[in-house]
Amino acid sequence: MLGKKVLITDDTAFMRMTLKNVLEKNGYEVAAEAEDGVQAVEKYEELKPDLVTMDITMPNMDGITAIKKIMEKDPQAKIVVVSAMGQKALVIEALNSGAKDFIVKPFQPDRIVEALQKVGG
Amino acid sequence: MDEHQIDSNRLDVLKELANIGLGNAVTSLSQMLGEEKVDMAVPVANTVPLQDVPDFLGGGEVPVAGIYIQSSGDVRLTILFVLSMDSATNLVSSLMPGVDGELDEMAVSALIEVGNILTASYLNAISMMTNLQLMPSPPEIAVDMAGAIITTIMAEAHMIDDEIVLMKTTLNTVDSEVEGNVLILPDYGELEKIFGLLGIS
Repeated sequence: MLGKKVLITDDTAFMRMTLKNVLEKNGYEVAAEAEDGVQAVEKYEELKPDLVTMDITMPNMDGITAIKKIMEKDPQAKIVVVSAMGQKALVIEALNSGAKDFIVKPFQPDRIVEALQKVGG
Repeated sequence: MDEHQIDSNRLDVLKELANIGLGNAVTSLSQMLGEEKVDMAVPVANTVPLQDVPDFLGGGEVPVAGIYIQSSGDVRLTILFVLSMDSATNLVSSLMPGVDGELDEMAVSALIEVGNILTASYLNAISMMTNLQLMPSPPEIAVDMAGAIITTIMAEAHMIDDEIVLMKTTLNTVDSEVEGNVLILPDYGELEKIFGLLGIS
């Protein structure tokens, strides 16, 4: 598990920093940070990270669209949604699009690590 | 504007929606602050002349930090979270220990994220109760006089009525001295959808 590379996707710098702190404390390597769906898709292709955290509400391209695009290119992608939006319809849409788990903000750090461990096998 | 009269039953419904939705939002804020106790005043719901809206934030001339989102999807709503400048810096200090005062880029980002989580928690709760799907826009922040922020929001939401329905509550954190106001501003037409779905004719 140690050293798994993670791509963090969130439009707010504060949330990227928070996620980065949690991940690095738990032995993950942050491969890159993406500020929207467009960057997430680009950086996924470029860096092929082991895991992705994905926000939903973002400018330019939302997280659901980004999940679909990444899954199209790499059906093995391991994406965990981290979003303040916990509405049932949206959770289902994200999971149907290929996300492996859905975490609603605000989150407990343990919950993030647990989800990534489960997904990352 | 007579066609926009809302009776007290309906205002009660809106008050209860605000109560439940914002109750969830307060829980989220408390979690972000490491389980600090956050109190919430009983929400009010009322029809208000447009020009009086800044009075709900202590007057149009007061400098504030306002974080707002607009929901799309089934219902258009604007949700605005307003902090005095002191409260904004206190909130940042609580979220990022060791940072004091300066509202730099990371501090502003932290405020945006608080606004994002608060408003999304409210929308999540409303969605669960009404089966409406509510998608928030990415949050925006403005540091300006309360009146200017309200004017901007009204323009962006194309609110052209003389009166609007306003739901409001005040949040207080016990230790970190943060007081914030939350305003929920739906379009009149959109309210009908909410009432319809709740079976209120």
